[in-house]
Amino acid sequence: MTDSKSKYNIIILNIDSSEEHLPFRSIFNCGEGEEVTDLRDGKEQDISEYFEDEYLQLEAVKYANYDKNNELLKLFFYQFISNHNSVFLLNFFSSNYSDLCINKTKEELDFICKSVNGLFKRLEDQKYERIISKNDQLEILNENLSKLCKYYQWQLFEEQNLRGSDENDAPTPMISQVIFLNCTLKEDNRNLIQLEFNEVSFVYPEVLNHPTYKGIIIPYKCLKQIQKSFMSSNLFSTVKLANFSFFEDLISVPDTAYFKSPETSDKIKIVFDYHFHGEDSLLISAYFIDSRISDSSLLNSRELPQIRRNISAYLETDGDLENAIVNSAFRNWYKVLRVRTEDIEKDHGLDRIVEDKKVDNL
Amino acid sequence: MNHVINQISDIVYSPEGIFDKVNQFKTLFNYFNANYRDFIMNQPTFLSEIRKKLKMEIGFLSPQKKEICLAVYGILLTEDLIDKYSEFHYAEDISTLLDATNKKNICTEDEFVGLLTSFTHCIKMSTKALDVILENLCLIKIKEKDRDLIEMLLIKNNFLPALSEACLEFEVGEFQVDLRFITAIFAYLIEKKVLTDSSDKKLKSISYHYNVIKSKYPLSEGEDLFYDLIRTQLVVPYYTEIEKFILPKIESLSLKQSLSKIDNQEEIGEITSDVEKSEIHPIITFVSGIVEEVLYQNQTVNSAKKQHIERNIAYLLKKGSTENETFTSSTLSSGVLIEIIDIWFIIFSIYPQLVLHLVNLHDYADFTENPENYLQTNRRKIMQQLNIKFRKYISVDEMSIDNIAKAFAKILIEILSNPTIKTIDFQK
Repeated sequence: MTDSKSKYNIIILNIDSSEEHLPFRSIFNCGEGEEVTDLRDGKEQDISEYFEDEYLQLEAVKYANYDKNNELLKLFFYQFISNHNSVFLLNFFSSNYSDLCINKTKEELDFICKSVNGLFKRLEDQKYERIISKNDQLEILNENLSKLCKYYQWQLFEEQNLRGSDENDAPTPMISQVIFLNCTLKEDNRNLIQLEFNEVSFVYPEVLNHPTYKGIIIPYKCLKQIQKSFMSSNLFSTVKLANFSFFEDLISVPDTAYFKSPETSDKIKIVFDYHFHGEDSLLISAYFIDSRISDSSLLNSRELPQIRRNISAYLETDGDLENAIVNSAFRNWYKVLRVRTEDIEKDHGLDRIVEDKKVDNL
Repeated sequence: MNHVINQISDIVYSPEGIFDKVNQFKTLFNYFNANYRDFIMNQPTFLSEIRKKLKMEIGFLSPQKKEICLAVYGILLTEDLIDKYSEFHYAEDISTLLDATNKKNICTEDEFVGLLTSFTHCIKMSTKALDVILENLCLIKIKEKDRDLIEMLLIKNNFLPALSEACLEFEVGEFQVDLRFITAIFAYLIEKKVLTDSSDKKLKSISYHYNVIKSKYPLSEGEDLFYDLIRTQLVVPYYTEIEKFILPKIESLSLKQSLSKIDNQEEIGEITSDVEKSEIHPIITFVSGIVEEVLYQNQTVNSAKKQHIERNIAYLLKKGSTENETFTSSTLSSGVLIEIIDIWFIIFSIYPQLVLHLVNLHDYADFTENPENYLQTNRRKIMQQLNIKFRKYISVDEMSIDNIAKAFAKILIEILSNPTIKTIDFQK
């Protein structure tokens, strides 16, 4: 990958307002020679779909890229989502940093949201008082936004203070469950590679059967979370707007996804692994790290790299999922294997799926 | 890339915990509470003088509050907390402050003292903060040229923490203060610092600035306003003035930087008595290990050891230096060579017997009598000898760190293979 390609940085900003002429929508690309360009070009991008879910809010996703031969590339895409009151922001950029600090970057984007929100409040007030016109308002918003974006771009790629690890004193969270997904790769009518989930296997510790955690983990919503981590087709269209032709040669898959619980500000992290079986079939393992659940019987997330290596090694040599689980640190956990994705219903807990599965086996 | 900027913007203010702030406020409040009573008792004539001047301006206050107000002003004057603060400005500002906090009619005496405490403390803190901000701006401006970026760095890393901290000064006293008032305090301080120093412009009160900002800016509440408020009311109107104000400082700073570079280059020709090194260079630790082995453990220097020394020194040099491109100049002006000669002198001061290899036969007696003194007085001679040795091992076109390290290792080995160095030991 060349350098210019690894410097694309798209910021999409929506402001929702009750008034008719808004929402205000703006797209900026701060790539290529640090120039901040306005990408709107008559086409407006709605990002409200990212903020619909009230259960868990997606914060950031780091995408890894494979080429056509399923080789992992040293190129990462990052996607961040941030919001403050009526301001919604989506940031998408490509870089060769694998060590971006998610929290620091999120803080920066929160600052942009906050600043724009304050600015917008002031402009609305002045417009109401007829001090400025609607066009003035849009112009001032765009001018300030491009300044904020430029600063963000500078911090990201020049100052590089957003890299490195986060010094956080919070205790390390626990691995709460593992989901294995059997998928098939399909090419859709836009020549983009799409994934189709076929069968899903749940591996989870005994604690999750306890009444306290009953409402916390709902299989249907976990699947939704995984689905959400994948790049949306909406974003693809934006990306196409910026002429990212090189996108089509890549398979971009989430490496790590970060979620936040809006009520408790708990963090949920999903780490993904991929095992290709032939041309069009794929096994995805998704490891859930959840700060909402703590129990001495759980595994600390520090052990995750070891466990991942172990399972990957088994899956690559053997290919048998059950064997891999039995030989890993999860051997004493509950296993519900190969449930069809259509069978999982909205409000069913894990216990219900176990029951259904038993009936099936009979 | 810009590590320096990174460091500067980090030192701005360490945000203290809210408990510290509350405690600080409590002590200050008690201090003011005790002091104003004391002041009223001890300085009646002084107070009556101020009272005459202020008679009209603080007429809206109740008699007790008037007394408090006067006493606090007296304290401000006598203790020099805010300089060049006229009594009329003070009266206006107190009145505006009561407006800005919505406490004009329902303020108890204790609250009033608290409010004045917060106010004076806020101004004190903001004055200091502004000094730091101006200093930071100088350093930012040396590194960065883009106006947009400088503005953003100024807002995000400097003014924003300062203003939120100033806000906190009021919040710990449980006062909700209009953000425009805080901005007005900064506008007042900027004018006081930047404008009045250079021109004869008359200083305006905080109250005046507050009213100006109030007429231009409609909103007063919410943290999210800070960016817009700072940009439109502080940075945009005062940027050119501030720039003009700090220009001489920037020039002297950049001059100082270039001068220090020249100084470093000249140092090689000068006779300096001792090398200023605040910390022990890793090369020194490494070399003294080798010297100890040879001198006191009777180990010989073989080719394996030679390679070991070469590799390590090249590694340590690369680690310590930022420029590892090939040096084209044949003179000894490059930083690495200066550093290396310094390192040699430190090594010589620890193991004086090593100098024997470089000492002229005529000076032998001088040297053995008092090696320290000899090193100091004949620094130039030894340096010449070292230079000759370096020239012997590095050709003019091949000045790279690897080659310098190789030459360093060769000289070290040459010195260590000289049997005479083991004949004297100055440590005993």
